This record gives sequence, C-alpha cells and structure tokens, in this order.
Amino acid sequence: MIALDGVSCVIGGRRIVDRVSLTVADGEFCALVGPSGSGKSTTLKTINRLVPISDGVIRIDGADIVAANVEALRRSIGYVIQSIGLFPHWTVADNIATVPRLLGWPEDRRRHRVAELLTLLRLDPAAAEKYPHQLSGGQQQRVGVARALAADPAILLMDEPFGALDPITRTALQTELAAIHRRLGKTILFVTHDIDEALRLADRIAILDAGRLVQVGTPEELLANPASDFVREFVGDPELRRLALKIARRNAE
Amino acid sequence: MNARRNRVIPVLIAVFALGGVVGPFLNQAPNRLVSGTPIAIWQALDRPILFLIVAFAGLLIAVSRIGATPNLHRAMLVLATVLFLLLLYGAGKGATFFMGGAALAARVSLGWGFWLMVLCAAFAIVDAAQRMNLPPRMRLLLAGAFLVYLVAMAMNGTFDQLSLTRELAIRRGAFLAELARHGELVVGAIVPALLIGVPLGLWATRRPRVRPVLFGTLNVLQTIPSVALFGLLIGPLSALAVAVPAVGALGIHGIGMAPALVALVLYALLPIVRNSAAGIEAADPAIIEAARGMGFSPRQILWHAQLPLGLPVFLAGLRIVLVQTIGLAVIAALIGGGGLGSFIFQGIGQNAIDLVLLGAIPVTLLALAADFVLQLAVATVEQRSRR
Repeated sequence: MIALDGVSCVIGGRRIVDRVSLTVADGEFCALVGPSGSGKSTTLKTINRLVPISDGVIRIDGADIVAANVEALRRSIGYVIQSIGLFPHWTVADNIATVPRLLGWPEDRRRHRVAELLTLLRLDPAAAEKYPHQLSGGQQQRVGVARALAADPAILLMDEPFGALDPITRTALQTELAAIHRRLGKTILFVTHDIDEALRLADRIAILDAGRLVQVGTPEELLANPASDFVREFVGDPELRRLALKIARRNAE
Repeated sequence: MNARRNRVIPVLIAVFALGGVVGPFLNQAPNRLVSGTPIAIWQALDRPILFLIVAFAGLLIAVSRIGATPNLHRAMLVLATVLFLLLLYGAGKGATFFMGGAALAARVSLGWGFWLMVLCAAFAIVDAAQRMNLPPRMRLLLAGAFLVYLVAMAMNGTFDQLSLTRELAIRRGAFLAELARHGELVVGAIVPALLIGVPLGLWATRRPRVRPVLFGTLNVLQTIPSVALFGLLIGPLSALAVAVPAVGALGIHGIGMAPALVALVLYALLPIVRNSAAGIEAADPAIIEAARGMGFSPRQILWHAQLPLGLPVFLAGLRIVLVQTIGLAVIAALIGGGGLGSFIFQGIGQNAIDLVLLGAIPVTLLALAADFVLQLAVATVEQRSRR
C-alpha cells in the first residue's frame, strides 16, 4: 500500500505539488491524470525519491520511505518512463536483468527470469541477445516494462510509459499491461495526460490540477459526478466515454 | 550515380600531373649544402616505370569517372596504392642511378615535384579508403600490409642512395636516441595530463560553477604561444632548482626536459578536461534517470553508463591531444629538451633540408600513426556501443 499524506514539493520557490493526500491499495491500478504542468510526474517521482518532498509523509506498507536506504527503496519499486532509457551498450537480456543484478541474484536465476519475462511481454526469445537499437519503439518499451518487473517488485511506477508510441502499438501495450495487472496483481501508479488511457486501464483515477488533487474516484464515479467544471471539461462527454469504457472492458474480458 | 561522381580524383590527378611536368622529381648536388640541379621525372625514371605511373594515373581518372560503387572504390584504392609505391620505388631507383660513380659527398635528394605527386597519391588512397567505409579490422589489416611492403622495399636497399636515407645512416645513433626522447616527451606529458585532466573534467560536470572558471583558465593557457610558454617556464623552474636542491638533483632545471614536459602537460589539459566532461555528459539523460530510478548508486551510474557511453567522446579527445603533443614536442628542442625537433632546428641552422626532413617526416608519421590507431579505437568502441 502506498500512502501519500499532505505531500508538497517546492522546487525553486514554486509549489509543484500542493498538499496531496492519496492512498493506493495493494493490487490497485491507480492513474494520476492531469494537464501538463499539473505535477503528476513530480508526485510519482516523490515515491521512489527521485524528487525530494518539502512537506508531508509518504509511507509504503506503513513505513516512512525516508527511513529506508534510498537505493534499496528504488530497487524494490519498478520504474518505467516514457523515454524508456535502456542501456544502449547492453543486450536486451542484460537490460531486463538490471535490478536482479544489482540485487546480486545468481546468473542462472537471472537467465531464467529473463526468459520468463520475454514470454510475459510477448517478446521473441531471440530478442534476448539483441541490442536495444535493433528493436522497434514498442518492443523497446516492452523491454522497459520487463525490466521494471524483473525483481518482482510489489509496486510499479509508470510515467507516461506509452506516450511516445504510435496509437496501434500503444493500444496493444495497454491491453498487455491490463492483462499483466490482472495476472500479477501489482500495485500500479500510472501517470498519463490521456484520459481515455486512464479510463481504460485504471481501477481508480486521481485528477491533478496545478499541483492539487481535485478528485479521486473510479472511472464510473468520475463520469457520473465530476467534482468541478475543471474535471467535467477534462473528462469530456460522459456518454461517449462511458461507451468507450464499456467496449474496452468487454474487449479485455 | 551522376550526382555522386568523384570530383576529388580528377583534381588530385591534375595536381599530380603538374608536379610531374613542372616540378623536379629529384635534385642532384655535389654535397649536402648546395641546392644542386633539378632532374625531371622523365630523366629520373626508367621508361617502364614512367609508363606505369602515367598508365595508373590515367586508369584512376577513368575509374573515378565511371561511377561510385564499392567495387570501383576498391579498384581506386588498389590503383592509388600502386601509384604511391611506384613513385617511391622510382625515386629510389633514380637516386641509385644518379649516385652511381658520384663522389661520396654527392647527394640526390627528393624534389618538390616528387613530394607533390606522392602527396596526391596518398590523398587518393585516403579518399578511396574513406569511401569504402571499411570496418576497423580491415583498415588495420590494409595499413599493416602497406607498411610491411614499404619496410620490405627499404630492407631491399631501394632507398639507400637517397640523401634522406644517407643522412639517416650517418646519424643512426642520434636518430634513435632523439626518437626515443620524443616518445618520452609525449608519454611523459600525456600520462600526467590524463591523471590531472580526467578528474578535473569529472569535477566540472559535478560542479556547474567550477566549469566556466576551469575552462576559461585552460583556454587562456592554450592561447599562449608555445615558444613563449617554454621560455616563461625557464625562470620559475631554475629558481625552484636553486632554492630546493633536492628538486635540482631530480633533474629538474630551467632548461631541458622538465620545462618542456610542464608546457606539454599544460597544453594537453584543455582537450582532455573538455572531452572528459563532454564524455560524462554524452549519455542520454533518460538513461541516467532510468538508472537512478532502478536504484543505481552515483558511482554505479558513472561506471556502468557514463564511462562506457562517453568513451568514444573521450577517445576522440585523446586523439586530438596525442597528435597535438607529438607536434608540439618538436619545440622542446629549443630549450634543450631534445626530441626529433633537434634535427629540425639543426637543419634550419645549417640550411640542410634533408636534416629538417629527418626530424619532420618521423614526427608526421608518428602523428599519423597515433591518429590512425585512435580513430580505429573510436570506431571499435562505437561499434560496440552503437545507439
């Protein structure tokens, strides 16, 4: 369980995140949504301490994250970013096994895990010995997700992971991620500016505006009772969204 | 294919022809101090060799006009290489012919026509090799084969009667000593410059405020003319040797190797520091962010991402530094530091061009070899960490 309690971030005199309190239950898929500059990425990065908080407390399973060793904390959390950031001089297998290697797993356990993840992400087993530049953008992000899952973390932080992909590849990866979430039951916090993506994937959606949390709820709640004009405008035509949601849910089953 | 027609080769061959028709191929003189009488290429060379040179030059143009395919580039590389070797062989043979029966003090030296032609042939080789875009291993193999062939020609006595070779034969001991000294100067400057420069470059990336001050200082150092810097160091270093006798006992004096090494280190610092810093920053910020997010320590990021990804940039800097230092070490001779510069300055003093070349040619070859090797290293490393 991730619990943010009154979290604020002041960077260079600007309050990027403003007293955000949010709890993500174990196994929940929560989307952080908002326009650019709303502080959603910054909020995400406070959880693996890539961004220091100025005020408030963040607890994971009840323990204050500041108390933990920062590198140990990060190794226990999967992290996926839009620009992927694979090591270009490492093979796909080495990239996927990055965190297991940092954790000192023996080699055959790492190899076994890599094979497992390649299958899970529907990557060709032969891709293991390739280099990232030999893969397409979509395949690279599959490797990025596999890398985040490698050490079997309970929590996955995803920062607009599919934002740079073409629509078809993006939809394919969204379907894949939903299936992985159902199967593995990870706690996922997912940043996106795309409300359709959030509606399709998330159990719960948190909407941010100018660093403040303006509404948290299930997709249906958001569509039925938008808390403000901002949310209503951001969510758009509820009938259309509900329809899209229904289709997406049916397709997923 | 028309758009990619080679324009380099026709120009090179035109200059080549000019050198052949107008310039003296060899010079014959009764001793090494007078300038002598010019010998044209058609007087210097046997008919068959002359014919072959003309034929190969013509073929080179013809091939370059056909188009730009890998096979044609390969043909051009072979033609240019043969042309180059024919010129060397011809010059050696010509010298042997004109020295036959001449007095021991007589000299047959290479004329500017020869140098122009050889240079054009060399450029044609480089041009063809670049168009072929060979992998590092092939380049090394070809350069090796070329070198072996040249050495074989030299061992065979082809060049023995050229004035340059005779000059070398007379000064063999001194030449080897100065060559070794030149190497000492270069290595003795590069190693400390790396030991100082790499940490400084790292420091500059960690402290944004240090950077402009550091780079500004090094830039100013770089602008001091080399002769002036060598001279400027004489004062402080001799004062130091007098004040602290232990330092003097180590061989550090106002003149000699010590000021030369200090100056060479100072000149080497800017490119090393700048390229170390640029290398550290070469990695894509996304890679650094992902690495941090996965729980890499700063040292692990440096070791696993920044250093390997910055290596090509760093090696490119090292290449500049090596070539620069090999050239600059010539000046060391002016303040008693020795090295191949000794021959150059002696030669200038005695107006003996062969002596100047005895210093200048090895310096050029050393610089070219260093450049070639590091180019290969960069290509190899880049091939491994292609993005």
